[in-house]
Amino acid sequence: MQSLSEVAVIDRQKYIKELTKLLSGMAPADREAVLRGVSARFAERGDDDAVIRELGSPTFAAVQVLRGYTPPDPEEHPEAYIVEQPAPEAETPPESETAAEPPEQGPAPGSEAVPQPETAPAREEEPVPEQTEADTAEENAAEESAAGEGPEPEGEMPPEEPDAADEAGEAAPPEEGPAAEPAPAEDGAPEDFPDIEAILEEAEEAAAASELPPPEPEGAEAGAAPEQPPEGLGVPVWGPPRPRAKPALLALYVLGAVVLGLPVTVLITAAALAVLLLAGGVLYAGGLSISFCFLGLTVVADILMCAGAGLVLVGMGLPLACLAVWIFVRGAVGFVNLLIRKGGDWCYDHGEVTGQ
Amino acid sequence: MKRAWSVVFAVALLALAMGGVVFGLSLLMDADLVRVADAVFAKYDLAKVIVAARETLGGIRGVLPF
Repeated sequence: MQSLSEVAVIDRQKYIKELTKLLSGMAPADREAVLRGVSARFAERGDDDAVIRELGSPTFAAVQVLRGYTPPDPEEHPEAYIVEQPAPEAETPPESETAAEPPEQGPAPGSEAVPQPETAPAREEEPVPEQTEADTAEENAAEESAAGEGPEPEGEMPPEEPDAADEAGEAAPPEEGPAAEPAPAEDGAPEDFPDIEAILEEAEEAAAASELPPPEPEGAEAGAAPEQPPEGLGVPVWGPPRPRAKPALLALYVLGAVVLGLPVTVLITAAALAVLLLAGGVLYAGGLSISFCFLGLTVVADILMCAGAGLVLVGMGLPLACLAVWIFVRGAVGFVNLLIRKGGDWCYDHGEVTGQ
Repeated sequence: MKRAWSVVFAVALLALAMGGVVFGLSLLMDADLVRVADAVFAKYDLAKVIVAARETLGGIRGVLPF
């Protein structure tokens, strides 16, 4: 799943940074929700390595989140994208702060019993951006609640709680160090943590729901169908109009077709059969002539003559057989088809031209 | 279907061409139809077949109006 080397080397700060980069395709509000969740998990567990092992490499986690994720429509949810600008800014300050703050953080690195001295600044940085993120998330939440809909990842995470939780939870856990410990205990941050798998599941459900045909059109059609006839426009026709028969003409045509068409068809079929019989006879004669080659003729010229005559007969019989088939198919069957087609044209009222 | 027709006609043409060549060659080599008939009649009793064929043709002619 994840490369152990990557997991081993990376720390929380790098992990979140990398994840932020990889999730840049998400709507900022959604991305922040995910990052908040990840940060909260780090804060909750304290053991960065364990959390990173659980989540997998940043790439893996990003793939898990993005799989099935559909970014909200910017026109419908512009608020999800307005945050785009502040989000990176909010993320960048920690870097500058990390540079600036470590000195303040003197005590934290001092507690080297903790696995990573770097994590201390990292955790202290987070509260600052989190506050800005929290503000934006609050705005988003307010807008979404007004709109009544929103992207899934946000829905998973109630925006207001995490804000308070994250502020405290991420500011507080600045180390497993003794000074930091009181704070992390405080919140329900772990409860608010949007699990990546849960995000994925909900995104898939949402995708599946969006693929289902909405029931409205059927209901609308069902409702519209009875409405139209009263307007005097008639029943709506969705296909080409069904041709209406002209009964008298149809009866006459059927009679004429049977009286005239049947004998003609029989004659054509008989002609085809006769040609077929002739072809069969010729082929038989050819085969017989060829068989004379094996009678025990002593003169080569006689054998050649039998063979030559047989080949010529076979050569004549084959086209004759084909001719018989052609006469039957094009003559008899074609004639019947023609009768039927013409009957359809003449004896049915097609109205307007029904198209090509 | 069209390909099948073309194959049949090709085979027929080939048979016709080969048959013509072979028959012409046999004539050049002094082939004799009487010798062939003797051999055939010596091997098969075709008299009965010929009589039956003639009777059949006569019957058909009797049925046909022309």
